[in-house]
Amino acid sequence: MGDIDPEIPERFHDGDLEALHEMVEHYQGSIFGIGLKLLGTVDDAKDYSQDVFVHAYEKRQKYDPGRPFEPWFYKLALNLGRERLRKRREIPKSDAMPVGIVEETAERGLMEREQREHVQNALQKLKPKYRECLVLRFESDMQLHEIAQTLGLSLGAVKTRLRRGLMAFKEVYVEGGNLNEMY
Amino acid sequence: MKCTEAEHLIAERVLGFVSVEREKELEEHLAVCSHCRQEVERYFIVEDALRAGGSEQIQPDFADRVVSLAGSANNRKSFRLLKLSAPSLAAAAVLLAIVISPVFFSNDSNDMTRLEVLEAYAEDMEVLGIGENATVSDAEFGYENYGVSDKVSEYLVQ
Repeated sequence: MGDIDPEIPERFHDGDLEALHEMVEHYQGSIFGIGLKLLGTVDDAKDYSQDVFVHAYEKRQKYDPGRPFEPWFYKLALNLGRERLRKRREIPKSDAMPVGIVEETAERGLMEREQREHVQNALQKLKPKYRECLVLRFESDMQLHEIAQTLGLSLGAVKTRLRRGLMAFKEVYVEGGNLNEMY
Repeated sequence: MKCTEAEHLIAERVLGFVSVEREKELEEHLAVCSHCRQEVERYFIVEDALRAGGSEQIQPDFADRVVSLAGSANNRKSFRLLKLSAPSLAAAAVLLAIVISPVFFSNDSNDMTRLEVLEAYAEDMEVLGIGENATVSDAEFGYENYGVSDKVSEYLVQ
């Protein structure tokens, strides 16, 4: 994902809907990926992605155009993700966990879907603080200092969370381990 | 180097923040440790899994739908603000009408001449029964009689 035109966040701040359109085009893949990895289902990720952009547009006056856009935007996105996870804990798990039905009939599509589910299931076993760091690094391709800025953490804390999160994910994803004791 | 330390470095390398010196130490360890070489392979699988997005499932018109939703939400917000301000505007209009109504309904007129004003006073004094006690002077009014200098009095009502 390349850098966004620096004028777009400023126009977005002023309420320009064309700027919002360009922003959606630029960040939709990343936000959908975050939604999928945080929430674990395709349907939830789609709803979440839509909410993130609409919510960001509603809150655009809170963004300071003199500052970098992405930390503000991803912080808002993660906060929405946390809110959804919190609400999910308040409703029966059976309503929240089924994976979205995707129209994929080809064998390859099914295999990809199974793999995605496997990744999502493994990520769901991590604590949110590790999951968030991993999605910002791998899905949004953020640098360490950007993750630190987004999450309000020190660089050292981000490194620790990333390393622990990755090792824990490997444990579940590749080894099929149980993380209850460590993470 | 122990294998546990090597695994930390393998993870940090995947994450992109292992230093050059530490990476060299890791390579030396990997050269002699088959267990950690297998671990490197596992982390390749992990990295691929985490980078696979699935964003192809986003509908082509997604951006258009978001813009439409954001635009209509924005309009609803403006309408809500208008609805909230309507009672305030009505209250302000009523208050303004009360304040300025004397202008429209009063019989007072500011274009009375000085003589008419004096005659009106005289009538009022007669009605009140104090006309007899009032003394009438034909002497011309002048501010100087009250200690006001000519320089100032030219700015006062004559």
